[in-house]
Amino acid sequence: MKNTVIALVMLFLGCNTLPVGYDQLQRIPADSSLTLGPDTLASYAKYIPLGAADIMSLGQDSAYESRIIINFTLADSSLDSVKSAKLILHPADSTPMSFVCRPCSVAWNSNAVSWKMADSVTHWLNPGGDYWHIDLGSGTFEGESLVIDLNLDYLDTLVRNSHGIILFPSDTGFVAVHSRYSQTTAPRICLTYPDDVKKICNAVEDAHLVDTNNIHLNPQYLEVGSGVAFRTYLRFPLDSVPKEATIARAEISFLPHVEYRRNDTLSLGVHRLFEPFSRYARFEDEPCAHLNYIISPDADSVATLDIRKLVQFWTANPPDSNFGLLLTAYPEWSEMFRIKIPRAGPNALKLKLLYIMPPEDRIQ
Amino acid sequence: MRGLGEINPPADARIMSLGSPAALSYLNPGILVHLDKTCFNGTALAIGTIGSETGQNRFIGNIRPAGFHSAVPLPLNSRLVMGIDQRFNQDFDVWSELLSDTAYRYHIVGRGGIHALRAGIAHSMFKTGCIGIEYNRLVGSSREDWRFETLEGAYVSIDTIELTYSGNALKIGASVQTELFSIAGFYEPSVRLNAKSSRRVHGVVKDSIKDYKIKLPNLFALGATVNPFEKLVLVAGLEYRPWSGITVNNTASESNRDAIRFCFGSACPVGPVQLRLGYSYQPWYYTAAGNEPITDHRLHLGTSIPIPKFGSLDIAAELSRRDGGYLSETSGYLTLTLAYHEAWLKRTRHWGY
Repeated sequence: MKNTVIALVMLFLGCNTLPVGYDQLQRIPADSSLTLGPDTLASYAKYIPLGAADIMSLGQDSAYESRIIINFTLADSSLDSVKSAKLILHPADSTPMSFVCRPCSVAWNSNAVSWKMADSVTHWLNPGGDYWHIDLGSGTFEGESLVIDLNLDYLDTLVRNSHGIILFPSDTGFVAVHSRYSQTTAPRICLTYPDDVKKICNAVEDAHLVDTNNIHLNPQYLEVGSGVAFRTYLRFPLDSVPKEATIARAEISFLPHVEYRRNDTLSLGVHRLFEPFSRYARFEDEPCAHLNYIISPDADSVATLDIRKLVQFWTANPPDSNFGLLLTAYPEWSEMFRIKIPRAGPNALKLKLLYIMPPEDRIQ
Repeated sequence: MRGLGEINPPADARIMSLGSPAALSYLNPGILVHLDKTCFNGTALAIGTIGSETGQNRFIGNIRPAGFHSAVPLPLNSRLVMGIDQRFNQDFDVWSELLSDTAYRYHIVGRGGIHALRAGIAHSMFKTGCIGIEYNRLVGSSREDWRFETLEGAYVSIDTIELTYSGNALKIGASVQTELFSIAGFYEPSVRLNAKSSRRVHGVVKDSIKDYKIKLPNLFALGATVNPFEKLVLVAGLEYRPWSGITVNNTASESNRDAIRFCFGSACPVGPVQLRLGYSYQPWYYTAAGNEPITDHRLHLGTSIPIPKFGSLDIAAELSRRDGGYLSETSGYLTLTLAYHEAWLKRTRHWGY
């Protein structure tokens, strides 16, 4: 009776997953643990296109400068009748920030534009964007939105001879601005015609262009950063792990030294490489592991990234799958940060592995 | 979960309710002293088990067909017997604890078993005796899925072990049945079973295929019934297989032990129904963790419900207590056998009405 009641209670509660009888198998798979350091490692810095950003940065300080470049499709007819042209922007935070708008003089592509490049083949003559030396307008971010009256004297230049607008920061600090990916707060230009007829032109392309005053890498460290991308390449020797092993745990851990940050959470990602490492090696866009590293004010905390699936893929598909991984900021257009990871020593990067071998047959 | 699995009793509720004396069941090809009409029976089995180990309890249930049997009278007092039943059951379902301090655990589900396709011939002699011989084609397969699961229930990889079995067995049996008593027994010589295992690791990587040649020791089964009083039948059964002699690829297995199973039972009418009671004891042929013996005590209860112009419905209920090391299992078995006896009866046609 007691057992019947227990059985019914267990059925109703659904708690029927207790490990009763597991030890009776007597063929519990063996497990092994390993701690590996990378056999190949490297870091590099790269000016990357940031046109995919949801939030763009505008500002400058002693380490970074960020400009915003926006393009609109403005029709060149009826310009004479335009009564006013207003640039409307929406900040994503409340940092006061003054800036100047200038027309961009070179065609660019948001998929490839960076501090150095206008598109995938064209370098800016002046890193950070080429522009006509005229001020279309200026303003200061305050509140939830900002409306800037563009100088109508240069409207013709803007429409016929320019390729969008570049915003240049005037103050120190950074403000976050919504990009074209926002439905309601995307950058736009509002043209007003006689009889108060208005025409709204949404941004068709935008990006922020980021530079740093110290792009050089310290050879004692691996580096990871956003804005200007600092990427770390790692490859671990996994030949000793049998291909039939199930990876139960695979964690990259390290103690980062934060060199620059704009907020307390640093977002890191691990990407699988598709081919042998080089600066131009293709890698998976979406990270296979992601970590929001929260900076602890009290003590240094170890960053740990779970790459179990990636290691399982490598070990199950030898020998030509393990091209290594890239440790990057994720996304790389996130607010600028830069961390250093020691190449050697107790705080160096390690891969901790636990793997379990397949079970034995019931007949032994 | 190991070895060849759980030994199944004869799939016949009538026999199971008497303690499952195999020698008195259709597993004995020489049991059919009297058979005047063709009969079929099919059996279904429902099992509910509560497992207990170190203060933790778990319930699992299972319903499955257990066997089919037919016997056909032939001229010259001969009988043709055929059927299919499961000799070894390899179903199980267990969970592990968290593996090595990770967020994962195993959920291991095993399904399958070894079945016997039986065909035999028997001859009844002197109206009190019968001898028979039966060929068993042993076939079977099992599949174990070792699911590597997260605590939320999603599984991230599966290692699968599949086993197929084949083999041949021969049985000879005999029985003597009088009004006062009956004695029956059968003998199954050593059985050679071939098993082939294949593994799929992570559902992708194929591991090597392994072949096993398993040699099962002889099986002896004896049974007796006595009718001390009218309508009261006492039953006893004994089975012995020296499991310590099992070999796998010509290597003796150290973890197996000889097993003598015995049972007692009785049948008597209570009112309009036939009531059957039994008890059986089955030590297992392999040991539990820690090399502890596994014991299995069962109480059996059953009855028959006649079905006019059809046959009968036999019902058996069993309560089993199985102990091995820290694990104990309390199981309830409900077995239903639908027996059909009325086929091809000779009918007398009466003209005029």
